[in-house]
Amino acid sequence: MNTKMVEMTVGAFMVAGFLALVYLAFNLGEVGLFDRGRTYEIQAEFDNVSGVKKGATVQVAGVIVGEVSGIRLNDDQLAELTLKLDRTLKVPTDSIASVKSQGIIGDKFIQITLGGALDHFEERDVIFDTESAIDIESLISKFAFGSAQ
Amino acid sequence: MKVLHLFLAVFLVAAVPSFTPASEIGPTEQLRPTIDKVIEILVDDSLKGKENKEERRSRIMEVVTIGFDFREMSRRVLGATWHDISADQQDYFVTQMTKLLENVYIGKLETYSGQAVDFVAERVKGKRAQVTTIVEHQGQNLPIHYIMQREQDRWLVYDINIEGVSLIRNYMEQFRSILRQESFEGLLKIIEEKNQSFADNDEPA
Repeated sequence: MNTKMVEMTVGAFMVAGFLALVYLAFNLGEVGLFDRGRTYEIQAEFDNVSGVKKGATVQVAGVIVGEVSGIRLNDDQLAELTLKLDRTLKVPTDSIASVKSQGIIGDKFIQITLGGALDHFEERDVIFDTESAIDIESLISKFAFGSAQ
Repeated sequence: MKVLHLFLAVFLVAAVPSFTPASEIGPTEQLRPTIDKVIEILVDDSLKGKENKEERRSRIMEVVTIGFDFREMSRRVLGATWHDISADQQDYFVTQMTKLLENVYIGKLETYSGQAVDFVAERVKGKRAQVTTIVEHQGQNLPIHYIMQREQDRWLVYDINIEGVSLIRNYMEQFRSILRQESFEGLLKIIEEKNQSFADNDEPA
């Protein structure tokens, strides 16, 4: 009887250990099974997102409020980013999403400038007002060679 | 036979009004005449020069206010503060903001020297649209995007995006820090002073 009790306890610990391992694996792998309730996703369309990588941060006033969870080319041949945002952040519908870089050649991130509209973007809504990545090279060439005429 | 005629008549009556409702005019068709008219005024020799400035500006503003929604622009640049101020303050802010945009941007427009404006793309998404034009500037193509919104049957511009930089966001960010430090009255004072300085510069020496 006593041995059976011991075996049961060991078994229970084994199961608990496995569950903890699974949780750890999901969390480290950023599968996001456990933060579904804490975040929501909205889309944003850009003409150009060159330099933005999956996992790039989304910031409001320099504070990280989410990340880029998907990048794809949509049916209109525009870059469509999926932004995974903290659920506590309400984004008014007149907000503007911009591609910004940390310093001149630093990592790219998405900055949301919050607007003042009374209604907010819901899950799966698309931000229309966006600013694309500024192409420094083409700007330099415009200034350097454009004025040569 | 009579029944058939009746059917035909009913069908025609039902079909006719749907042929050309104003809402079917796309954003590009709506914007093009505005831009064309502004260019027409800019290249008009009888309106050139400093002495014709007032006449020229008022003509341009007349055209621009038809295609541009200055109230929407003002609302957007002010952000959440727009809801905290009274209706009178909103109206006054719109007039001052319009004046500021007129001073800053029409001044820039006046350097225009007959370049071609090409309408290259249009993108409509529900009530929003983006019309892309290309202007040749010193041998380089400069893309200018007009961001528009449909109000009843008309498409009105509420933001201009040049080379990836949005006009609204530019002002929104600057105003936000002023609003935080100096409140709405302070911001209004700064805009008024700016407009006044434009007016003073125009005074003949």
